[in-house]
Amino acid sequence: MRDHNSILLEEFNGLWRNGDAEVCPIDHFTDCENIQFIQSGVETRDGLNLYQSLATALGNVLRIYNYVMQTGESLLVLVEGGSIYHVVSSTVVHGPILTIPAMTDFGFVAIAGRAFITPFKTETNALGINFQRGLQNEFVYVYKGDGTAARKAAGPPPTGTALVATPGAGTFSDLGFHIFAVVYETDTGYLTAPGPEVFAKATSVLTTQGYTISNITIGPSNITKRHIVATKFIKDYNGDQDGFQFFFVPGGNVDDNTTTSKVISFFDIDLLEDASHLIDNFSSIPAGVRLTTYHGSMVLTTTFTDISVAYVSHPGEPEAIDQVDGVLIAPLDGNPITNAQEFRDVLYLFKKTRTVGFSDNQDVPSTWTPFVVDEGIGASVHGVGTVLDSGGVNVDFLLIVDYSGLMLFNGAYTRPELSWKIRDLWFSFARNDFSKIQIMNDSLNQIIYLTLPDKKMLIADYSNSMSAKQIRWAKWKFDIEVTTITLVETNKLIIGSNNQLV
Amino acid sequence: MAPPTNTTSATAIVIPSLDYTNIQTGIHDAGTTFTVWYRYTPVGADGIIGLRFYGDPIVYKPNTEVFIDNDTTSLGSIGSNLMSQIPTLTGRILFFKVIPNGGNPNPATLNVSILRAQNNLSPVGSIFIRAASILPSFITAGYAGLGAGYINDNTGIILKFSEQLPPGESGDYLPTTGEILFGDEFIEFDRLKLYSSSLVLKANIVYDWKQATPIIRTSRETKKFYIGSKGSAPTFPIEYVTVDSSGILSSPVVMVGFGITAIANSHDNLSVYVAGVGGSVGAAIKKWNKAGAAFGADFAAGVANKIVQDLLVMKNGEVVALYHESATDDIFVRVYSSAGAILNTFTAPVVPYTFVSPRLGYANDDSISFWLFLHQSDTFSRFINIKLSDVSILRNFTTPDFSYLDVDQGVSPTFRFVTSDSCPFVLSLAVNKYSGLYFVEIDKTDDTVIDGGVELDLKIPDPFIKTAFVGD
Repeated sequence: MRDHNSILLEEFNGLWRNGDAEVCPIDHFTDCENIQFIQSGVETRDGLNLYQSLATALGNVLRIYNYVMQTGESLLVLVEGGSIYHVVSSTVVHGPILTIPAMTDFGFVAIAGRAFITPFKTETNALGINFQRGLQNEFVYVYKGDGTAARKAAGPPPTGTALVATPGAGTFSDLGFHIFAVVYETDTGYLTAPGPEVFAKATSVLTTQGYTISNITIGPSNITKRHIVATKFIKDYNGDQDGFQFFFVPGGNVDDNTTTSKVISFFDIDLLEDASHLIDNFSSIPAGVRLTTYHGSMVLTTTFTDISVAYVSHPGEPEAIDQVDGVLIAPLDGNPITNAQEFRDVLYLFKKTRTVGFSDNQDVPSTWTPFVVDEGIGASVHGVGTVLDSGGVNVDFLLIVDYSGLMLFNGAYTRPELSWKIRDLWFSFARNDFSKIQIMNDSLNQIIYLTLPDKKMLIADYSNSMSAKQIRWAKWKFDIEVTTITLVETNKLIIGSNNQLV
Repeated sequence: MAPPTNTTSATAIVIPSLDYTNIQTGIHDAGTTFTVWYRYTPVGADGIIGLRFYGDPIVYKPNTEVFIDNDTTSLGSIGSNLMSQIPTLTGRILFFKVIPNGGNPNPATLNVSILRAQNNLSPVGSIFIRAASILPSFITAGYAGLGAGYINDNTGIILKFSEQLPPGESGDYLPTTGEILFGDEFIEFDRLKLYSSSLVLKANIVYDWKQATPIIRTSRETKKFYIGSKGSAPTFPIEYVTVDSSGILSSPVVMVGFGITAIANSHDNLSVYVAGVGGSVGAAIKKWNKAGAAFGADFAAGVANKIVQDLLVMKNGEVVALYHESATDDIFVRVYSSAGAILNTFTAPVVPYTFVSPRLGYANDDSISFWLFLHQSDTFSRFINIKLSDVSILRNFTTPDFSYLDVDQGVSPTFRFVTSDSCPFVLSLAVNKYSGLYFVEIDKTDDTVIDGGVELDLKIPDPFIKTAFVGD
């Protein structure tokens, strides 16, 4: 063209939706779809393929998680109707391993190869604001990864016939009055509270005799062992069988679920391993929204009755949550906890516009003091960026989906937000639908994936830099309708779809 | 031996979790065989549960009464040594009162077994049957319905149950989209309920069909449900309405006469086939002319002693009619041309059948075939998939139905869960189009999606960039 001064575009820097189209820089796009970035250019995005064979294909997918078993990776898949399936490979599907019709979403964490699952759904309050909390009268479930149905995590104490302790058998004991009870051990290693309803009481009158414990109740099919627990000598028994400290009796294991009697011998000085804490544990853990880990404990947030409470299990015992000592309380502002994440030795709890932290002080969780990180920025239910398949901390930041944008969090939130270039687009998302935004971070290819409320996707390429200026945005659209995403095999993007018929 | 401890609801044996089995001895003591109690608090994962409180084949044959919330609100009773299946309501305690037969039977050993129903994948095309009816006690207790079963359409194996769908005797599905229309004949009455293929309620439509049940049949060509009202003499003649996939109800078209046993819209959408007008036995298949608002010449003459129980209109315009004579267990299917000529006849196996009417249903194969649903008197229902062109049998299997639970099945019953022997049935197309699990494959140049069990390669939708660059 005559008199035309050519302009060389050496970079394509992605979507720009901040202000009028006239202010869009010349190396950005006022609109784009289905592209991905290659160095300085763009190309059509890669195509989709089926993750499952036709014979086993699941449909109507609502949520997927990468379930890392001790034998490898797999998927947990929630489909419409409230059933969760375990997709082991393209041709092997277990389940449903759990069906709860009211479940439209679930939280998940894998610990020691076992999957912990909490069912929840979206509700709407009187102001028309959507929020999520655990299903009423529902519980956290544990799935062993073997195709058998998930069962309620934790478990009730022994129940039934009164336990009997008879002095005489055995070889030694301290003289005096003792109380005995039984603790179940489940196939996932959980130790129940002592039972049955009526403990055994007996008085030893010879130091050369032990006790025969009989009427040991047989537990449900998931019980693999029983343990005898006992008090030390009680001088003045007041009739309150629960008012004394119990210990595991050395040699007091019943390593099956069939034997109903056990001969034990012990001196009080041998009673070292305390069992009293089992009494206060949940026998059934109420359902919540977010499951994660912190310092070897399992963390559960947002139950139906306590939307600002997080429960923290005993370290190394994810099913053992003390109803008194295991409680963390976020600021009671009427908004539910939406997310939780460990980062740099701190447990962060998020609400929709608030972030607080808790640090382990080596005492029980209820003594941990919260500190406010930010009172204007929070996270959505699926809005904490997961890095690769490890859970979020193998690079030195978290990615947080907030109402104001995609935030970079390194202990504090940095401004401007990473989504600054597409601020108008971000602000067009209905706040009621932020629970539909799920974020995954492929830090190998340096791409952030986000599902959107309109069942499309956003990608953000940060190979130039993880900064608001250098990050490159693009929209992805499919004939399928995207409801959920996850990453497997390091950085393979899996997409779940639940198209509605028209 | 001491008497049992669980002789009252307060001392009931607590069932901790399901699946649960228990063998209780010592029920008889000092000349008395005691009533014993169990209790269970359902959790959300329980869904449909199967109940069995079994004694022995000869001496101790207890009945069981099931209560909810307390020991006075009865849901109903299970007969001597029989089984039952019920949906559960999370957190609502169930009490089971196990009552011995008379005469203080001794010995008395109770075998308790309470199981969760199976919950397997149900592929597209699975046969789906809801319950026929519900006891008022369940409705009073707050149940929204009973379980509806999915049956493997190749083997007859029951795959799973949905929870609490309103029971009834009417319904059909849209073959192209999988939406299902049922009449709610017990819970809310006079409501047509339109569900998505995955049983999400899309519309709850008020329509007074005058009698106990409406008749519902899909029109494939118009993608609408035709709902026939049998009318109520002498005030309300027969009529039909339609419902589309959005739940829009049409105005009633009032016809002439009283009584309908089957209805279907014609392939050309000019008329409606109606059977059973003026008396069900030996009735002709009439043809209601929409434009003229009157019955024309009969489409097919009546067959002596036979009731036309069902009608289908196939994609090629042919009409399939099911004839039934209960007294003789004589059942056959006729395939008519759109002009009314008999093209083929399929005669059902001659075995004893129950009084429950057989039914027809559309198959999920674009009208190549159709289904026939028969209710044998041996506690099984039979499904036969019949090829339209020559009435040859494509698939043929049985599945245990509700009457299986009404018979003492002995020490080791083969089945614990059954589907209703009700009619009609529909096919479940519960997988939504293109829904599923996908992955992004590097360097793949199209999108492969799944549609009704078939892979499709689609163009990646319109990749583009648009810049604001206009130059100097």
